[in-house]
Amino acid sequence: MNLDQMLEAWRSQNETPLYGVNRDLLQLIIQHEQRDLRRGLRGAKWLAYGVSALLLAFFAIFFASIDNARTAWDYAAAGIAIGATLLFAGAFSVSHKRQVLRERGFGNSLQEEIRRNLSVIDYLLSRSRRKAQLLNGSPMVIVGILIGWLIIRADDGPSGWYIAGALFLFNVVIWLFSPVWTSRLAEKQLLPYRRRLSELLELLNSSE
Amino acid sequence: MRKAGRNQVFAEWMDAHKAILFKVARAYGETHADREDLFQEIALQVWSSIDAFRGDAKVTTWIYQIALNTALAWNRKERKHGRGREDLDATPGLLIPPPGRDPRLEWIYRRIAELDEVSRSLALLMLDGFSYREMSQILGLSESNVGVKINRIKATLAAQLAKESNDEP
Repeated sequence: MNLDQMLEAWRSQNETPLYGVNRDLLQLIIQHEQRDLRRGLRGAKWLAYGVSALLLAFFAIFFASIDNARTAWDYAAAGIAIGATLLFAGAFSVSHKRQVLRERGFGNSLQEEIRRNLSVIDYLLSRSRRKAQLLNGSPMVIVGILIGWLIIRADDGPSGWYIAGALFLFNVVIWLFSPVWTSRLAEKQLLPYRRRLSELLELLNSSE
Repeated sequence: MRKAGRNQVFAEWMDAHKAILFKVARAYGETHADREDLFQEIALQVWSSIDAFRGDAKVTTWIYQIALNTALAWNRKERKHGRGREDLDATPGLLIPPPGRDPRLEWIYRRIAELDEVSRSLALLMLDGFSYREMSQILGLSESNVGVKINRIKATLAAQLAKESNDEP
C-alpha cells in the first residue's frame, strides 16, 4: 500500500458503518457465558442451602447439649431458629425459581439469548445490593444469635458468655460488612459485562 | 438561534459530516465503549457550538476543530479517571468490518493510534485533505510546525509500509 492507496482506503469509510458482528462467534460466546452464569447461580443456591443446614446443625448440637431442664424459651428459640432457616432457604428458592421462569420466557434468537443473560445479570446485581443482602441475611443472624443463647444456656459460666459474645460479634460484623465487599465485587465484575452485552444488543438491533 | 433552527442545522450537519465524528472517535477511543462515549460527547459539543458558528470557516473545518478539541480533552480526562471497562474488542474476531469495508482501514487506524495526541489529529486532517493553513487554524499550531510534523508522520507511515511489505512473503 502506498500513500495514494492509503487515502483511497481512508475515503472508503465515509459511506460504510464502523462495525458488523460475527453472529456465529457471538452465539457461541453467549451460550458459553450462559452456562457459566447458570453454574454461578446453582453454586449460590447450594451455598445458601449449605450455610442454613450447617447453622441448623450447630443449633441442634447446642440444643442437645443443654444439661439442665429445657424451658419453654428453649423450645421457642428452636422454633424461631427452624423458622428463620426455612425462611432464608425458602426465600432463596422462590427467588431462584422466579428467575428460572423469567429466563424461560426468552426465545432462542441471538438477541433473546443476550436478553436472557442480561436478565441473569440483573438478578445477580439485585441480590448483591447491600440492602438486599442485609435483608436476606437477617434470618441467619437470628439463628446465630440463638446459637449464642443456647451456648449460654449450656454453659452459664464466663467461658459460655465469652464464646457467645464472640459469636455474636462475628455474626454482626459479617452481616454488616460482607455486603459492602460482595456488592462492590459483584458490581466490578457484572457491570462491565452488562454494559458489553447491552452494546452488543444495540449493535445487533442497529444492523438489522 | 431558536432551538428548532439549531436542531435543523444540527441534523443537516450530522447528516453531511457524521463521518468526521466517527473517524475522530475511532482514532481517539481505545475501546468500543470509549468510541461510543466520545462520539456522543463530540455530537453534544457540535450541537452547543452551532450558535457560535459565523461562517468564517468551512463547516468541515469547524466540526473537525470541535471534534479534535473534544477528543483531546476527553482523552486527558479518561486517562486521569480510567474506568477499566471490559471491551467488545477484547474478544478477537467478534467485531468485524462490515461487508465492503476496506480492510486497509484497520491498518491505518492502528498506525494512527501509535502516534502522539497532536500527530493523531494531524494525521486525520492530512488524510482528509486539509491544507497546512487549515490544519494550523484548527489545531492552533504554526504552519511551519504543521509541515514538520506532517513530514514526520508521512515518514513514519512510509517506513511502516516499507517494513510490512518487506515482511510479506
